[in-house]
Amino acid sequence: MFSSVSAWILSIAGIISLSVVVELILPEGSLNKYIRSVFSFIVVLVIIAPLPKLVSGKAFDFDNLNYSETYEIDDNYIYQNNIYKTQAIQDTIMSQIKQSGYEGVEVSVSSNNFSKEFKIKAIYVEMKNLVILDKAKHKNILDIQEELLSIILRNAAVKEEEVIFER
Amino acid sequence: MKKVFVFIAVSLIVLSSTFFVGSIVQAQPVYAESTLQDDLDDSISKQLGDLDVDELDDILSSSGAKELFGEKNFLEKLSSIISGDFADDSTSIWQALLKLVFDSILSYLPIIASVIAVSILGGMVQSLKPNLNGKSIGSIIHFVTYGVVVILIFTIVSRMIAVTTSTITSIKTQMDAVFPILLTMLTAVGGSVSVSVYQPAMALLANLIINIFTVFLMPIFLISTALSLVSNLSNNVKLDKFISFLNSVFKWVIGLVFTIFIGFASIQGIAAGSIDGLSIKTAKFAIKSYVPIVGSYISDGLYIVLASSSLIKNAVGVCGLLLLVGSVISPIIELVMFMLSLKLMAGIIEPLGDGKVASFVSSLSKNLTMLISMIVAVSFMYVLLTGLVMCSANIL
Repeated sequence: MFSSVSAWILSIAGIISLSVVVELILPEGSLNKYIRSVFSFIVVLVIIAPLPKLVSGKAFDFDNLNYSETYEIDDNYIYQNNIYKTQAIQDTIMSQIKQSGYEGVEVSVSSNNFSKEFKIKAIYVEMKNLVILDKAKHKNILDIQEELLSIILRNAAVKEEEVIFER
Repeated sequence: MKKVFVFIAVSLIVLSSTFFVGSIVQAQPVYAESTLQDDLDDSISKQLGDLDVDELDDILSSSGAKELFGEKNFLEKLSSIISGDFADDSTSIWQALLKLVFDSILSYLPIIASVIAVSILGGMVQSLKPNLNGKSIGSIIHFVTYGVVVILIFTIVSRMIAVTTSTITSIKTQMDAVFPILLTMLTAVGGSVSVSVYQPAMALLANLIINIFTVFLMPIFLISTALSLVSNLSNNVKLDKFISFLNSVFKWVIGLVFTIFIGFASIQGIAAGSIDGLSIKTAKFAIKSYVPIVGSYISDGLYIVLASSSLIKNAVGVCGLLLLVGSVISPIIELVMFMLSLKLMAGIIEPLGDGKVASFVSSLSKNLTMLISMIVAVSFMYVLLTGLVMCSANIL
């Protein structure tokens, strides 16, 4: 596209320079006037010559304008970040369980770390080594499970059936 | 052109006010406890360690943005911005700018002086020439004067063209380095809708729009400069109207590209940002308890991870903009100084020397605004897009 444009511009510039040189060389005379008007004609011709091609739409091809590239998201970083988030939720739940007076409860959060949208898939609660710190409380294991479930639901956006207890 | 600049100014004001509001909101002291601050610092440094900024470091070491960054590398600057000290050496920046202005004036001074001298000499010879066969000799004198002036001025103009092209290319390289990081951080914060808006917008800006600038607008500048050169060569053939046609094509193309891009990006971005903000808030409510438990905030680790991602995202944006300013400011100052000195030249030449030389110089100075507006428009679109990304999906 632009080789033809530059050819056009070069021809305009060339014809004008030529007319200037001719004007310098030619002696004064009645012929001078006619030569000038001929040159003006040629300039107009050169300027409008490529316009019909422009109208037909063949002058512009935007094929070399490349706009299909996109920017890629750094998957490694997202993966690492998802691990941090998982770890953070796990730590929060563990510390709150500890505050409620239970020890030895292992919570592990499983999430889709390779995905760009962070989502918790399931939470596993291991209660085999459960120690109740507050000796005065003698509770049913199901009650404890209920309490742990409420702590987990407060801290993580999961459904009730996604929390899996192992006793 | 004027309208474009007014538009740029107005949008800059609006944008800066949004930044300001955003920063106020963000500065609200959520982190009352010192342990929380420590947790946040920990999380930020962990996440910064994962960030891949090698490309940006390369750009920084090769660009002229050293004054703005001091002796820091990219990561150090990032962490200093996150901790809140933005400009530790603002006086040195101003000194560097002033030095740039005077340096460019000094470098143009010899050419200005010789152009003025040549055209005054030409005018004197013109008036002293023998009267016989005067017309032909007069036009030869004009030809020679004009030729010398053109050669002198075009030594600088060709340099300006090279500077503009390389500046736009370097903006493109910066975009290629900054945009993936911004998108990654936006994803990490949870702005998935914003990502789906900004990912194509960024690709559009960095590929199609920059291509339009270098492949379409740059040739228009060259053509109009070449035509203004030949147009002032003789009295017979005048191409002023044709040049003004080219100039208005340039203005319309740049204005349309600018307005359409900015309009779509900002409106879509703001909408997407509000959607994301809502979903982040609901996620936060789902995650965090309504009932305040003692120590709930401190142990709320997820919030810290998200907040530090958001801080890093904004710091990357700020650093990218600093890098942009550092690489753009010197070409813009050079171009503006050159344009002003051309105007001064035309003003001095006009009464003393040749009218056509003066009109050539002044039309060239008009054309140079094209180069300036190309750089300004590209960098402004970049600034606005980065600003939108910084504003969206912030955790408040």
